[in-house]
Amino acid sequence: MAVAPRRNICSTRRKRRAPFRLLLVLGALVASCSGERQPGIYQDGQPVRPFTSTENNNYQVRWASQPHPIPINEPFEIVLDVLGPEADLTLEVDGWMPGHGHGMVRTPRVTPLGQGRYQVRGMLFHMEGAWELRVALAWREDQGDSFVIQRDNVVFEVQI
Amino acid sequence: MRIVASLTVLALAGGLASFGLRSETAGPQWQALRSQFSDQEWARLLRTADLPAPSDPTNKVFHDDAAFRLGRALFYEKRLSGNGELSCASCHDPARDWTDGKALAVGLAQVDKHTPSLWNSALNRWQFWDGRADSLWSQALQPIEHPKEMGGRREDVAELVLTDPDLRTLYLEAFGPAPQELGDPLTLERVFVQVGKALAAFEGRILTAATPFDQFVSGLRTGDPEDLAALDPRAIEGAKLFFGEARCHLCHHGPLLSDMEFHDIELPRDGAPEPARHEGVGRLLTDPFNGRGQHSDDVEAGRERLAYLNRTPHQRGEWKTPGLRNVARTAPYMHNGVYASLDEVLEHYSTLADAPTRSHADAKRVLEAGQFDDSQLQALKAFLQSLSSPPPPSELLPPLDPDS
Repeated sequence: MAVAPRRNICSTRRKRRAPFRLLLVLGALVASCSGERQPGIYQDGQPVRPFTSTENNNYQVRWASQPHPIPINEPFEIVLDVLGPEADLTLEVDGWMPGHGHGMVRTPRVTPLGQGRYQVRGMLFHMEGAWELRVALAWREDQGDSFVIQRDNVVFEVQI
Repeated sequence: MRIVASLTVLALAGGLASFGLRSETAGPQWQALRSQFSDQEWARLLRTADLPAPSDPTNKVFHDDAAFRLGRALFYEKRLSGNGELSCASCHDPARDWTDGKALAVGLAQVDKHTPSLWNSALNRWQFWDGRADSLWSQALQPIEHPKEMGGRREDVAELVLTDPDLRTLYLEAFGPAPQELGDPLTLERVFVQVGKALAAFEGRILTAATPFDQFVSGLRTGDPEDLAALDPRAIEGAKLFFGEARCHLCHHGPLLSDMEFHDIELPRDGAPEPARHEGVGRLLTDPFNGRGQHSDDVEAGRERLAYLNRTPHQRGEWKTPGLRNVARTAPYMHNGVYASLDEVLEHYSTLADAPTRSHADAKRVLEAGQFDDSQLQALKAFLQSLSSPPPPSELLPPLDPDS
């Protein structure tokens, strides 16, 4: 699986305390089971797409566009759901055309909506063809009196 | 097997319905055409229909008739220029499809860019070849003061508009009471911006009417035999190439036949790629007249336009994809006017013989030599010629002969 590029990427962060780690997972599951109808992520009562594991299996991510399907060369938004261990998570999103060797002409912005859900604004797939929606995740992992930055990513193939 | 057959019938009926036709009403001419195009090519063809209506929330007089009349007068007004001999129409001549027929524009001096046509410019996402303006009104202000173009001064322009009896009357109709003096820089800027917004109200109506190609696409939707006959077989072959094998549609798609963004199409050049869009983004973000500036009539809408722009080294050598409506009448071509005819343009895409060394390794993945034969080149040209609309309506022509 390709590594998400660092270029043309924006990010946002969410911070939670350790006691709430499970809430992220439970919240999303409850929302899912209770028939919550968040705009974008559901269509006809069903999630638009299933959760997909990140490359190193640290998180699970699903996404949906608004509008759906994604229009060619018109701005659209994305709703992302992230399941996994609670952490000081940074989320980065980008679009890439592997066959063309270029990405989007825009840098999208990610806003946390709570309970593992994120809104991504500023998306634009300006050309027809095979795109990759690249989601990169990074978080800080404390190790005694120091910390390291851990990274993982997931790439969704999108045909426009 | 019976189930499969039924599903096939249903799928065909559904497909026809989605194209606005019922299977029993689709005539043999339509059926024959439908079979020529793949589903993807067909969808691309249909997406060219319905040119949208332009709008600009950052310009509240964009649709205003009085602003249009002022803008029309200003567009043909030579006194906006430093030497009193050049107007917007000097380069954007309506008799030449709003361009000048020259490879490179010539104002007070020669400019290093080809004059783009104004047809449908209000529908552009960005203005100028490098996209350094985000509205027609902010675009219109730059040539007025550019030393190589009109070489005017905003002080003189504002003074002219507020003191010339005819222009003042038009100004008052469009914007209401005029400032008594222009000493305050902000007041001066405001009047100068109003000039740009009036020009945009005029230019916003320079929209192409239906072309033979549009009539053909309408026929694809309705099955009307007369509409389907609007293109001859050669142009139809060209359309199939354009929206299929030749991959022109990758950048030239939608109603404008443009993605409204920026690409390096490997035109001949000396040395490194020009700053192009890379510089354009930088200038746009710092332009005091951009849509999020104090002269915008909708700062939030202006912010939204600019919020997600990125600026990368990759943008060097990338110029705006022009729309293709009326392209057959707007030679020469490209941002630098390097090609004198459609034949030369098509030859470039066919052979890339004059392309410089690849600007980046991945570029070849996008642009490959089409290696078209003569028949294909003629077909593509015939298709491009089918994109010609009627000449501008009289309301867009000079209100009076400026020399009379």
